[in-house]
Amino acid sequence: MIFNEISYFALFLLPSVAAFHLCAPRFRAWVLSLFGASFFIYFGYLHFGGFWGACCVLLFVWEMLTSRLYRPGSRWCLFGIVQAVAILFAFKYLSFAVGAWNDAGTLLHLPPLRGIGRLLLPLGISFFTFEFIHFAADTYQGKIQRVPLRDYAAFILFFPSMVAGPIKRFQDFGPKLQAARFDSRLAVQGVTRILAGLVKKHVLADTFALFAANLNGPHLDSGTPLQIAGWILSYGMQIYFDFSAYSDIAIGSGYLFGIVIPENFDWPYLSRNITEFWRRWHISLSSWIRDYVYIPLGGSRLGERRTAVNLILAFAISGIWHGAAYNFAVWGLWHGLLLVGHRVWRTRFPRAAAAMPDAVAIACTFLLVNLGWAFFCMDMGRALYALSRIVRWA
Amino acid sequence: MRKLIVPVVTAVAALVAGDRLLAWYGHRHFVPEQQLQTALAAGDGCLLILGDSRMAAGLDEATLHDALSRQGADRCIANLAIGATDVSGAFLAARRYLSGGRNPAVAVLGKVDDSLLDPDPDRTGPRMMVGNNALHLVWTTPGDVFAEVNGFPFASVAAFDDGFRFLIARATGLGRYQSLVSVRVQHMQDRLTGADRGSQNRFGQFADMAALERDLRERAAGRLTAATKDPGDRTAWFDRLVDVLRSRGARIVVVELPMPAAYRRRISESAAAVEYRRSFTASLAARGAAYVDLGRASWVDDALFADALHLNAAGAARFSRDLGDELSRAAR
Amino acid sequence: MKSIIQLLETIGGARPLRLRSPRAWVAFGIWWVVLFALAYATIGRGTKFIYVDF
Repeated sequence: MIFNEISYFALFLLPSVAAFHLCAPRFRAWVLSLFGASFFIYFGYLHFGGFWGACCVLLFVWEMLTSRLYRPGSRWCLFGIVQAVAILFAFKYLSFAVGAWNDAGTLLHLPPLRGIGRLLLPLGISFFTFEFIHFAADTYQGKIQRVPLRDYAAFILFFPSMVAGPIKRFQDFGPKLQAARFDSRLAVQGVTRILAGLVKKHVLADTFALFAANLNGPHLDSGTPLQIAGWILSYGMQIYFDFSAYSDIAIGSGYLFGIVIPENFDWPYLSRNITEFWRRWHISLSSWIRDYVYIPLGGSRLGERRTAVNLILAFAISGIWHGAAYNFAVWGLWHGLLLVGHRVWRTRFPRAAAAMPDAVAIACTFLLVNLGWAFFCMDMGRALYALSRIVRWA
Repeated sequence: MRKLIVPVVTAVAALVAGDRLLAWYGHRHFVPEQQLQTALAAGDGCLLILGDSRMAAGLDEATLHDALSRQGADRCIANLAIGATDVSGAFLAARRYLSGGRNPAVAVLGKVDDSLLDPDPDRTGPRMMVGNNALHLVWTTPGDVFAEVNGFPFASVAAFDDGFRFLIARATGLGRYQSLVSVRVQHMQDRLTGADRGSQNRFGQFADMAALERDLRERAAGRLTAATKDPGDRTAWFDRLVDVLRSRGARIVVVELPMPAAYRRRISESAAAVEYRRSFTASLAARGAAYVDLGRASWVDDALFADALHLNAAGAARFSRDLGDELSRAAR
Repeated sequence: MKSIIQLLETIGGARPLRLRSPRAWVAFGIWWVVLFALAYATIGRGTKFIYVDF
């Protein structure tokens, strides 16, 4: 975890905040870009592929050059989208895709492909490619006009959100970058946010992890159904505290620059239904999926059946984004089905939906979400086994 | 701006106070430091014992005294065999002892096969400086960063990062004694969760000893083969240890420690180990140091071991008696 | 419930602070140290200590 290393604070955050506020405003974007590129090279080398992982900083350079060609309605924007998807696919999904082809091939008599090991995974690839796609797509639609290179460089190389989001939008970040100035109140909030994030991660998430670890340990089959259910719930708490902690530290770091990055979690386990859950959990991802997958597929404009298909497809993609494995796809499908189910529930049974007490609605949503976590944290075999033990209560 | 300065100054002041408090507390509760104070209190001209927990386990001071006295060679014993440390830890312990104003007459260094070779790269760096190995933070100077971190500062990003983190960690009490706090928290956590810590002796859990023995065994074969191909390689820490001891006029005796039969058969009696012992003893002789092989003594038996690595009380008595006899012989 | 959420958000840095007196700002500095101490004490929990000699 990069955010708990002294190097993050001593070599990157504090010096960059100082340089950002001390330099002339016209250099600020370059300061962010320089520190961002250094951050990527440094931690890419240490944790994400060594020398070749660090070289992947050239992906950012290439993207910056390509972005110079983007214009509203231009095919270069479409090229940029395809390019970003291709980069993500090549690094993250190629090995899985070959494996999936070979698995399907045994059933459908397809010619087998030679298995390949996974390429290195560049630092933050799932996040920065989504920002590349967003920029290209919104420029194509005319939502973003011509942008100085330095501002786009600062946007994609903003290192606090590079590791684990939030996934930013240029229309939000650009003006804030221009207007950024040192604000002592915001700085106090930022320090508090960072410290709170570290506590969430090390005190809360790591404590729940002690119990959740049993799900992938050698003693899953000796656990009682109650214990297995407890471990899955522990995982749900672990992943919430862990992920929201990263966002806290990223957002708190942004506050030190005087830049307010949008929130990524809003008490998601207090949601009354699954639709609300996805407005509160990993907000930057769910809004990205909505804007760049669900709506382009047609959203809810093409009838109920097509809406259901679009929801399921969008969340299957969201699942796969989290990891290149079948269990992540199943997790995404689970949420897609829950969302479809919720739409049916509130349109066909509006009175019952409105009359449900908040406590019951929150509890039901919490349990349904946590059932899904079984697929997120275990492979298919273990997940199905664990859930069958709970369902059979044996 | 005042809104930022007040909490920052308050926090910094509280952190500095906490740092001083932890440094004071850690100094008193850090076992290597306790061992050092006991060793310094033993007096001057002592027998300085160095090595890891295997040496510590084999040391029965009363029996050693008896054996030395019988030959009229008795002297005080300064026991600095510190568990979980390697040859780099032995160097730091010796240097720290000598800087306390003591001049040992003889330094006895316990060894098992490849244990005096430099540690493997994945066994070095700030991440490993926990527990007893926090002596790499407590007993070092900033200048030691070049010895502690291979390639610091610019050989690689990893070398720079390790060296930077080493310098930051050793600069404050909070950094030096962080693992002391962590282990206390882990104990509390184990008590609260009812975690079964398994059966253990004074060195730790038996399961851990077995795992450690497996790890040592798996590494030893490769390390010994590499050492026989290039005898002068990977002896930087041992060379420093010899130099610092010789600078104070100490006689150096390296003693081969016994290990259980399974380890001996696979490692100590392998061709690479035999060849390494031959070249090592030759290099020792060239430096005026002595070698005592108690690893293959006739009395060595698995019944004399408490776990996969350490002698039990009976084994320690036998070992210490033989060590005393050998040291007395060498003194004449 | 709402007030608990707001309190947690405030002490967690998600909401702006409305502290007025110097004493309140000092207390907030102490809160930072508490947070730091909690993270500091638990950050090495995964570390395996073979020789538990402390």
